[in-house]
Amino acid sequence: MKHTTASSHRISRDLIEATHCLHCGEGLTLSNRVLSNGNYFCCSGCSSVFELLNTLGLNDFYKIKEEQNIDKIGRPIDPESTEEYGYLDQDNFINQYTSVEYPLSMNFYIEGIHCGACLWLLERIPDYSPYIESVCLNMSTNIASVQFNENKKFSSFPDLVKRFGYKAHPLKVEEEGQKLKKQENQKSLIRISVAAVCAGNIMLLSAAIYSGAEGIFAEQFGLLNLLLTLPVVTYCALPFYKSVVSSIRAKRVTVDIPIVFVILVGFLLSFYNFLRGNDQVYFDSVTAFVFLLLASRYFLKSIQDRISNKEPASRSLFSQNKILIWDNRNKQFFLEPLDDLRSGQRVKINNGDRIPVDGKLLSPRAELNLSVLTGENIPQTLLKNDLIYAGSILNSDQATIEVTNTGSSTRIGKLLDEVERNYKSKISSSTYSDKFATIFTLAVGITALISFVIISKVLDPSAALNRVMAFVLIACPCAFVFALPLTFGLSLNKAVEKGILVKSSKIFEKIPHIKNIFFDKTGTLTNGVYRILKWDAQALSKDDKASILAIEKKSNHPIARAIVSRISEPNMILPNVIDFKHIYTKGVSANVNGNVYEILSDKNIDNTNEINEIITTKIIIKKDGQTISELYLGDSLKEDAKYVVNLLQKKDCKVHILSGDNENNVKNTALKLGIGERDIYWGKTPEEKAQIINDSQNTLMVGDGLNDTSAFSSADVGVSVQGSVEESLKVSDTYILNNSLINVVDLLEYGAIARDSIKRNTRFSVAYNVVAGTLALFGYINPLMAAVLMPLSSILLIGSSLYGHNKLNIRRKTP
Amino acid sequence: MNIIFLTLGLSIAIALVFLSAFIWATKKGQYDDLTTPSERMLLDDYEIKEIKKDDKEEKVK
Repeated sequence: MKHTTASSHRISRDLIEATHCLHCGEGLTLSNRVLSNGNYFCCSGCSSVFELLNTLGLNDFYKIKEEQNIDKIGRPIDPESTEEYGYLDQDNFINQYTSVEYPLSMNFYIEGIHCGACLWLLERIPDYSPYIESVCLNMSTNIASVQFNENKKFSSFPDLVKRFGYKAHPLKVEEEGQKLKKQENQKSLIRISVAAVCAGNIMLLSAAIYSGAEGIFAEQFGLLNLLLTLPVVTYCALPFYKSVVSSIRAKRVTVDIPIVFVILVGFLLSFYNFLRGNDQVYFDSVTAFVFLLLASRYFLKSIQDRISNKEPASRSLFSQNKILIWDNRNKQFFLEPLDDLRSGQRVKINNGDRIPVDGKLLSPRAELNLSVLTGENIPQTLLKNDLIYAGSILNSDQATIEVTNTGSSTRIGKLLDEVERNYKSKISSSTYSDKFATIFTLAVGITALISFVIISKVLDPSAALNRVMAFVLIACPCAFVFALPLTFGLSLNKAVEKGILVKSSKIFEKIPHIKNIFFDKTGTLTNGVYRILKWDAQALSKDDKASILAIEKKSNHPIARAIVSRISEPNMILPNVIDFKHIYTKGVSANVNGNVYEILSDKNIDNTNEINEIITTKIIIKKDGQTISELYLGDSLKEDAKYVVNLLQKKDCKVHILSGDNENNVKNTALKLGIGERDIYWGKTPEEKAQIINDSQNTLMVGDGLNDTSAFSSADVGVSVQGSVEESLKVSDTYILNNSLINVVDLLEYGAIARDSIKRNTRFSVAYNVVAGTLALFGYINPLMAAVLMPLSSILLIGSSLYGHNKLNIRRKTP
Repeated sequence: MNIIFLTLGLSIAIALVFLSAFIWATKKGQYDDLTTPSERMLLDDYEIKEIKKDDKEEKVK
């Protein structure tokens, strides 16, 4: 039975029990409820958005949600974020984000769009905003094109959108990538339409000829056919010619080679026959073939684009685009665009920001999260003159850095460039289908030559020519060639529905060959968050709890966050914190209401052996020198980790663990998951991890986002399971949305099903081509038969691909 | 039956007209986004409730 949020609320008022958040539809439990003005929400974010919508008179948002049967929308993104957008109104930034022809228009990538109600909400903004003229949202790219009025208050849009629970990233103008993609898409559509018009009309004319049109009619129709074919074999087929030229240069075989072979042979020989006044003319088959091929490739590409569109068009890894640069003349830090930064300048980084440059630390100390480069989530302390690398996050208050490298010359910039290069070579290497298609073509070519010689001797050269041409057209694996993109398109689509984003079909083809699966430990097999495993927090007094909460809220450390989420209660009044200090590598201390609290970590621990739990840290809380509480933190294995490892081992794959963590933790984890000691590696740096993967074959690496960049690019298939979509898709080939490991198993199964479908198509293709080819060589195939047989075989192959698609609806018993 | 050349010519001409219309529409960007218009179509019936203009401006700023 479907519960819309409104009705669940009407019922709930009677029962004094709300079951779903009124705003986002998330299920409510006793612990995560927030009560506000008599309504229940799952968090304060949702309640503030609800109030805002009420005030602005936008409650129809909820009506629309109900009408469209949308039960759940996502939680508001970062409602308490302090991100400032004022810089967008500054002159030195405006030029980067608005173009010369449209000086009042700016594009934003919007995070958090899920449904038509969101579309309505955003596009209604001009109705009441005094600064915004129009908003046009594209729901496939999530990019909103916003027109402002003369007030030029560009920051009004992201500020407003933030309060609704979305996040707007301003997009720079010279995002050539986005513009080029659009043009390519338009060109493809035009090519398809030209091919369709020409092929359709040729078919009409050919039908007349096959039905017995003679004499001048046949001549003129034939001429018209030729004229209609010309644009198809030149303009429409151009992408195939280009692709073959580049693959020949790179000495690679691709599936485009047989395509071009068929087109050229079909057209040239038909042209020759036309000039001779012959009726062995195959213009209709050739043009129909080009049309079908273009259409199926477009289909595959549109699915792949939808997947890669989940990332914003920004080139840089960091969503940050501005930075505080020291101006020597005015002796002050000014906010400038990131692109204007030069090495040698001094910049200031604030707490919580990701550092966008390589540089030298000028402040006396800084606490940084270096997980991007080392894989460690635990903050490291750096001292003055230490080297800082782009990608690290600043955990301490403020730091000044002297810039040495920016953009793509930073260490991580170079790393990302290498990932890009590796990726390009991954997807351009020949796959099974490429090899099959090319060998087949070679076979056909050789057979054609031999047959031509033989038949010329037995009959005469012109009959030989006709038969050989018919043979080439019929026997080439054409239908196979366009059933292939269809199969992949359907598989990729199915994977997307399950939350598995695969960047390219070439990656998909590699999946059935995987033999070695490497898992990162922290964040992949484990939840990666510091969780409090044992703490008698109830024994603390209310004042003590409030004080500890107030202190830990000031720190960004994962341990602080764990403590905050454990003892945080709604409507708590927090006391003032004086003299807050980071005691590097130990913890924090502060003065609250006259008492000195110290919250310190203690490395002396022994590991308990409860299932799924790994204790890593002990924290001691002292008040005025006396220990008042102790707590244990640790990581826990993901719930389905053991089940997934089991399934993978059953599939004949070797499962390994690759981790930077210490020996004890890794051995412990392996033991709990049933992985042998020979297959685990501990204490490895990112470079060592990449090397281990390189030394192995048929590898698949599962890790989380940025931490495992090198490893992902060394593996045949890199799968990331956590972190943000855009960052993860930059560094790995596949991203799993729901953070659930079982999707790794799904991925392997989809790959196998796709491969089975292709194998089935291959066998059918071979059988059909051998039979039809033989018929052609014996003179039984004429243009009419070819025109009929080709669509027939295409339909059969499409049916076969769709049948394979249905098999993708696999059900699996939950553990 | 020579009229067929006239009709043929006409039909090719009409096909070309439609083809150019499609090409024009594509270049204008009408096919760039195929998903959003379908959602937008369903939203026409809702109007924002009337609230005093100054109140709204206060909240928005």
